[in-house]
Amino acid sequence: MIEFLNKELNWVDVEYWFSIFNDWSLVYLIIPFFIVELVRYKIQDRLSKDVIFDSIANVITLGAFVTIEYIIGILFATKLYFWVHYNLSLPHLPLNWITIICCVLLADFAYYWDHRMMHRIGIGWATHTVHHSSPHFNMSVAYRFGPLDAVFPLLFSIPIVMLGFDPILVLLSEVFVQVFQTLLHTEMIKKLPKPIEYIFNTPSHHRVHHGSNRQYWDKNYGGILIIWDRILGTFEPEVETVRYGIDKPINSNNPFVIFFHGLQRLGKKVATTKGFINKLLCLIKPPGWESK
Amino acid sequence: MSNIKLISISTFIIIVLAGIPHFLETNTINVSNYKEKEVVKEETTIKVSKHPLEGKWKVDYREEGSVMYQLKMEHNKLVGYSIKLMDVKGQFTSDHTKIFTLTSFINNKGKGIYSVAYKNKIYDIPCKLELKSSELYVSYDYYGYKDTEIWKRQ
Repeated sequence: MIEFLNKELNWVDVEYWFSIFNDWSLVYLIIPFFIVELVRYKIQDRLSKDVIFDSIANVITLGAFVTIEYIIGILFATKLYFWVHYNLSLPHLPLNWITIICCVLLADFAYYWDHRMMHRIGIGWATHTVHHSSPHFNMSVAYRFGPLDAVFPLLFSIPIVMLGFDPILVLLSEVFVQVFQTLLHTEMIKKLPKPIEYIFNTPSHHRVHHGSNRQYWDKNYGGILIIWDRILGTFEPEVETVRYGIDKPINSNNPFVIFFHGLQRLGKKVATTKGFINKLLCLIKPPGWESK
Repeated sequence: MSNIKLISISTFIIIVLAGIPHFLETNTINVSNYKEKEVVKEETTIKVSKHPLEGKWKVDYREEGSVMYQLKMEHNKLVGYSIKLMDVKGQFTSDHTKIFTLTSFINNKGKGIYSVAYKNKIYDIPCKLELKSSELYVSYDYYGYKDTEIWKRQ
C-alpha cells in the first residue's frame, strides 16, 4: 500500500485527471444539474424572472472575478508562487499519491481558514458578502464572486508552497476544493447518509452556511470536509428551514451593484466612522463591529 | 473556542498533513540511497559512481539546427553548459554558456532551472526532467509557452 502511495507519478497523467474533475465537470455535471434545478423551479412554480436574472448576474460576476484572477496571476501571483517554491520552501516533494492527497487536504484546510477569515474581518466580508447576497440557492450561486475573492486565497496557499508542495499541484488542489464546493449549492439533495454527513461537507451543511437565520451565521466554513468545522467549533446542523441571503438584502439583479455592494457598504462605514484608527479597525474587525 | 486552542489544533493538523509526505519521502530516499550504496560497493573496482545525468547530450531543434550540452557536477550541484552549436548545414561553433541547474532528481525524474534565450533575453524557466534509457525529456511551460525537448545521450 505504502509502496503504491509512494510511487512516482507522471505530471501529464495527474494534470489529465485533475482536468476531468476541475474543468470538464462544468460540462458533464454542473450545467446539466443546473438545468434540472431550473426544471424543478418550474415544476414547483418558483421559476421567476428574479431567479433567471439572478443567475445571469451570477455568471457575469464570475467573468469579472476570472478577469481579476488572470490579471493578478500574470502580474505577480505566478511569479510569487515559483519564487517561494525555489527560495523559501522546504525540500521539494515528489509527485505521488500521498503528496496529492495531503496537498488536497491542506488546500481544504487552507480553504476553511480563508473562508472563516472572509466572514470574520470587515474587508473579507466586503467581498464575500457578494456570494451570500443571493436570495436563491442553486448551482449558479456558486459562481457569484466578489472583487477581492481572488486575493485572499493567496495568503493561505503560499504557505502550502513553502511546505514543499509544487505550486501547480497547490493550484490544482485549490480548484479541486472550489469545484467540490460548487456541487454543494443545491436544494435538490436533502440529507445524505449519516457517515457522509459526519465527515464531508454536503448540500445540507452548505445550505446552513448560506442561511440568514441567526443561528446559522458564521457556521460550516468547510470546503470538502466538514470535520474541520466539527474540530474547530463552527459546525451547525440543518434543523430550521433556511432563509437565504444576507441580513440587509440588496434587492437588485444589476451585476454591477451586486459585485461592488460589499465594498461600497464598507466604504460608507469607513467614511462615517470617526478617527483614523477606528477607520482601519473597520477593515479588520468583524463586519458587525462599530466604534464606541 | 480560545485562540490558543485554535492555533494549537491548526498547527497540529498542518504538521501532520505536511509531515507525512516529507517523512515518507525521506524514508524512500534512505532506502534508495542504501540500495545505491550496495551497487556502488559491488562496482567499486570497476568505476566510480557518477550522477546519472552527467555527460554529453544532443538536442535537435528542427529547422534551427542542434546543440550539444554537457551536464557535469560543480560544487556538488549538477549544472549544464551548451558546448557546441550546429546550424542546419552542419557548421558548428564552440560555446560555453551555462544553461541548466538541477534542483532535484529521484527515480529518474527531476526538476531544474533551464535558461532559455529568446529575442536576446535569457529566461530562467522551471522545468521537469524524465530520464528514459538514453533519452532525457525536458518539459517546461512558461506563461503558455510549452515544449518538451528530447535530449539524446552522446
